[in-house]
Amino acid sequence: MQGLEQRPAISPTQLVMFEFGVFVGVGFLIMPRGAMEKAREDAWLTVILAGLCAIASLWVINRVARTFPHETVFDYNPKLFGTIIGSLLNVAWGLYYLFFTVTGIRVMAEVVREEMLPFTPVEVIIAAMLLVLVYPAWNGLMPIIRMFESGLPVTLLLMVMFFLLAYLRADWTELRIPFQDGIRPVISALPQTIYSFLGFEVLFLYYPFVTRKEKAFVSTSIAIAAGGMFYAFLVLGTLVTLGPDVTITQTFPVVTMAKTIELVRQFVERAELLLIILWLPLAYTTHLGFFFSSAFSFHRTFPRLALRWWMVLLLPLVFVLSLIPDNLIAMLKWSDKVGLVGLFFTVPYPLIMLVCIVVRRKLGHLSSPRKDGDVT
Amino acid sequence: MTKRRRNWLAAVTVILFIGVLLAGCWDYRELEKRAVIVGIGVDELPPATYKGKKMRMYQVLVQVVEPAGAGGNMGAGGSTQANGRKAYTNIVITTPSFAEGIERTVSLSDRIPNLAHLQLIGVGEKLAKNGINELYDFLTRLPQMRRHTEIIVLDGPVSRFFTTPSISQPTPALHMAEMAANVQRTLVMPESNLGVVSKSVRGHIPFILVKASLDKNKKINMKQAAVFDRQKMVGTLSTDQMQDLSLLQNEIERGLLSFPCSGGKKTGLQLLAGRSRIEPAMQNGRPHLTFKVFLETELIEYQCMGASFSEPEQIRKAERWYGAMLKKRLTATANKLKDEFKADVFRLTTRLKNHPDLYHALKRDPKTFMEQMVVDVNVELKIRTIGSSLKTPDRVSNP
Amino acid sequence: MQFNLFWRKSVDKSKRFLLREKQAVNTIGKTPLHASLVKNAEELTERLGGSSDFAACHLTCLDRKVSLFFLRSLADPDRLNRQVIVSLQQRAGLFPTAQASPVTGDKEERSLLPFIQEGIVSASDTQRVEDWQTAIEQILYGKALLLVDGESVGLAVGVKKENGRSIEPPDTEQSVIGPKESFVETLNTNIGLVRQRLRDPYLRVESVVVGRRTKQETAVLYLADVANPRIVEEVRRRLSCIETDSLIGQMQLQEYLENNSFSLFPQLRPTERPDVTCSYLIEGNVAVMVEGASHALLLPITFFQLLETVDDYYTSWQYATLIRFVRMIALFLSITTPGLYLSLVAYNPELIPTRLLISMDAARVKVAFPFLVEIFIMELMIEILREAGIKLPKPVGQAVSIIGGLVIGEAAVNANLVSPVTVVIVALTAISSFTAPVYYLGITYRILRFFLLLCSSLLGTYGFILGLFLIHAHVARLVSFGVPYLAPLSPLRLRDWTDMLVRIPVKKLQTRPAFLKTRKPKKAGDSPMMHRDRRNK
Repeated sequence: MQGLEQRPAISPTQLVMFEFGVFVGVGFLIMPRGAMEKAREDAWLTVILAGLCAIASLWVINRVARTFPHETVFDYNPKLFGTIIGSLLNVAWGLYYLFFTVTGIRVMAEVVREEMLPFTPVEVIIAAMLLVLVYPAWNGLMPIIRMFESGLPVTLLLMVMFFLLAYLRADWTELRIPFQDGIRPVISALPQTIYSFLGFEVLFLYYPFVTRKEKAFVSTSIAIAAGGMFYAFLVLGTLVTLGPDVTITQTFPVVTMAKTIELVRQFVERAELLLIILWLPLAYTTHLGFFFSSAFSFHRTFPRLALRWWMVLLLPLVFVLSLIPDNLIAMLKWSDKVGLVGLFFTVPYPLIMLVCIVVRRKLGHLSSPRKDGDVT
Repeated sequence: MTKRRRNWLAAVTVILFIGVLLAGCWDYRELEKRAVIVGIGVDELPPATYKGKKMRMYQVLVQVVEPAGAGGNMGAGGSTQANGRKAYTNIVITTPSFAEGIERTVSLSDRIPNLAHLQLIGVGEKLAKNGINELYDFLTRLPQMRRHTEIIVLDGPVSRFFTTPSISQPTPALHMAEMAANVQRTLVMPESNLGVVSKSVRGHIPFILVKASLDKNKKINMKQAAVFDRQKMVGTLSTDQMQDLSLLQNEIERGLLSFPCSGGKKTGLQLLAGRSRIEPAMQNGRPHLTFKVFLETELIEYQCMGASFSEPEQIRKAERWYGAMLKKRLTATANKLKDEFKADVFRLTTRLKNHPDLYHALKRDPKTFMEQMVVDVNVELKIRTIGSSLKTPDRVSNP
Repeated sequence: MQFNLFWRKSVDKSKRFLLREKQAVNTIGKTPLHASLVKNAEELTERLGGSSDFAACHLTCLDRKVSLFFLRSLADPDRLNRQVIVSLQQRAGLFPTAQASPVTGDKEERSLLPFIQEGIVSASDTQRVEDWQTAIEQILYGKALLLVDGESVGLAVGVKKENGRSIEPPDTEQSVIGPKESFVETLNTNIGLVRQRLRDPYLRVESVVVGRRTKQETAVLYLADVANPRIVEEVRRRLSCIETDSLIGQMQLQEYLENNSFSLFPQLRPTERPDVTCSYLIEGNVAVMVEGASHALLLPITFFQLLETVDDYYTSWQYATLIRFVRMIALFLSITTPGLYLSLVAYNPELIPTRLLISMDAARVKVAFPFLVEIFIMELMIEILREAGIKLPKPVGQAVSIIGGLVIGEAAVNANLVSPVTVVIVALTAISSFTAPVYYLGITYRILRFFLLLCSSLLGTYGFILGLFLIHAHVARLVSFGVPYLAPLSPLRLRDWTDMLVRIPVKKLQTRPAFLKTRKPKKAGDSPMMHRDRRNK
């Protein structure tokens, strides 16, 4: 491996792809239901609003990370909050990503079982996915990022083209002039929707490896904006093809939307299988990103154990945890809880850190940003 | 150290892989072990006692493709071509539950049923009148079900429909599905598939399905439509009514408008394009709806007296003439339908979303809304082409 | 440093390499030659003795005893006579006395060798030899070793018999329009073929001797002012790290040079065409050639470069672009078709249109085997036919493959062993895999196809997708001499896309691939014509 490439170096384009691949994944199959239950026809506005919130949170994260340009969050957590609280937070990060992986994999397995392999046990579906997960993660960050970069654009393009087919059967009368029921429903659906954006906080973890740090915020914002547009496109799609009344009764509204697609009659039966095929890469990138982040978190917290050992340790853990809930509905309850933790890590936590940084600086524990924090 | 670690990992991987390999293939099923179900026909039987309880009884007809008879001899010699075997099997089951009905085909056939290729669901008229809610639940819960599976109402014994031979298609179900699709595309019939049904059921809107009947020559005929309200069939529409309704509903695809002129002769206008908008208003506490229909047509048949279209004036005159006729017709139909069904057959519920007061009134009490509603129709009809002849030949009988 | 945690393994490995580099490779040792000719002759005979083709020739020149040692099988007797023996004998009589000799002084101090080297031997390739290791190596290379009595320095004279075959059209990389020359097994000829096309003083040829027993000369070619020095350094290092008895062909060298030799994907591109080698050198790549192999190895290489053929540059750019897309599709088809077919038919027939499904079902009614077996039977048959087609003499081979393919396929369908659709699928994949521009890539396709078939037989469409993920992950983690294998796609450099999937007109191809990190990112600069065009605007 000796050669020109020695350490992970994430270029701005790669950062866009990585962020996008990590946060766009399993959640969006279900997201239109949550958004539409409360916001009805205005759900697509909620999605856009959620994207804006995510960008705002990202800005704060970027502010914090810029103070420590060569350290991950696990290195400066103890510096800011003291060793004990810092370590606890580090472990919380690891557990958060672990549970994110767990819920994602289980939901994916349920979808696959329902639509593709009705008689195959979930255990096998999960185990096969886990084995495939470990292979690219084994060699560290760069292979993962290269995989994202080379695979995602094609997948996304195909997916958008695929859903445009659903738009052919759209009933545009389902739309409505926004804010007819006031702005409250739109706001009340916000937390549910933000869950689908969670994952962008990996910037905390990989910030030191970003090559052009002054562009980090722009890159990640592009990723969020692209994801938000994609989500809005999907929500709009479910709205015009299914209508809000059907959408809120479906387990996976986006899959149901795919079922309305009729490719040139009798060319492909059951187009939603194509959707699953196209969606699996997106789900896979999410699992990969979260699984690696989990191992990375634990490794950074307890560096005595190598990254690969952590992966080997976490693998059976993910397997066992993902089998605990009895069914999909129970699993969705879990993922709501994980989403709450995610909300903590994206909204209050960076703000607290910002305050801490200011306080520490006042106290003189940290050097001033002009000297140390200049961007490289 | 590193070497030992790698060996250990390799061992784990191999064991897991072998585990998957040995335990795999739950869903592996050969093509010939799957029974491809292409059509289901359901009708209601008189309630009967089943397992000690009196229940709604259904007659479920499942049409399964028999590959041996289905032609498609792609190689193995032409000898099996005309062996006279039927390309399908109809399995008829009497059961109170649909799932059980489908499941019981396993015991009647050597294959495992596969509903993914279901093309047509035929609902018997009796069942339709008694309510299709149980059928609907079964269908929408099934992950294998597509949303563009045709649903049609069958006027007559279900088994007769599913045995009508077809020349172009391997099985009657496919034949009917293809026919229903064509009818919806070329005539002005409504979309009649599972997606529409589920949308309407969830939105509490009446919906319209294609209705097939058998004529004297035992040919299948699809020229009527059945109106459903609250998942029950409440009435039948003729082709003309259906056409008018489509024009009002803004579901204008290709279709032929015909107008009478003197002596029982007709004028045919082919629809090229068109749209219909609603201009709703509350007037004196009564909902007042104006349908604005704009049509572009092509003159394709003109049986009336010798006329020439060499001047734009003449075309404009014809446009005005037929526009007024159409307006009269549409207004009459609209009033008749609203009085007959007292339900939102015009799909106003989705189209009034941007008018909250009317929308909520309609949602709250569709019946009074319909009773109070005043319908007004504006028609703007354009004749874009008149074909390749400018003049109609003079009629000999009328010099 | 915190980043080492990711790359610890690689650092270890390179340290090991560096250690190995320091160990002496030689076995003979660098002991100096004796002064006495007799002793030298004895030692030589002892070291090379027993070989029947080892020959010695004793002469007298200027009163001194001169001996020539060479291998009869390698040296060209004609050249030896003309360039060495005759010249030595002619000079023998010219200066009969010691006084008149140009070499004056005491007998001990006099040195005849420089005189012989400069004035007598008329060969261009002479080299002074001072120790035994070099001496024996030189003899083994086909040179004649000239020793003078009383001097501990020898002279190696190049009189090697050049017995390479003539230059022939290439076998595996045929071109319809392009030049029809290919490399031969002689290193010198091959380097010559490159030099003929690339008359650049910056073209460097460095040679490294590889193989403890075969002592093959390996040449590293690069443009000194273009190629990335770190890549060149890395090639040098890896070559010097090779510890082997012999390199039989370029495949061995390839395996020694590759980053990941367990990978199915070639990380160097073997080519037998001098024109391809030249164009790659100009791009800033490095070429490695080894004595005895008729292929040059080009490196670093990326996946998309493996999909380019020579004809892309000898046809119009529109056609080249079209054909590249066709090749991509063929690649995809040849890897995926059987797996996809199996997973669709046996797991998810929902995706197949109803009418097609019914007719496929009807065609399969009489076939007794499961799909998996059916596909494996056909794939095996194709592989056997292919292998037989290569092994048999050319005319027979073609007959076997065509007749075998047609007859067996038809008969298998008629005998209800396989269904016709399977035959179509297998034939499609077999034909698609022949579109691989690099021969090894075709083999890769075949193995991957079986891998995907296995995946989809386990878990259907899901397994198939997972298999694709694994392949993708593998390709993404490959690195060829520091260049990521998926280079212009990831890391994304849109500038390099001009010659990836599409090929834009050559006039516009002004830059070298950015992923090579060459010293001069632009080619030749703007041509004068282009300047004029721009000024006119």
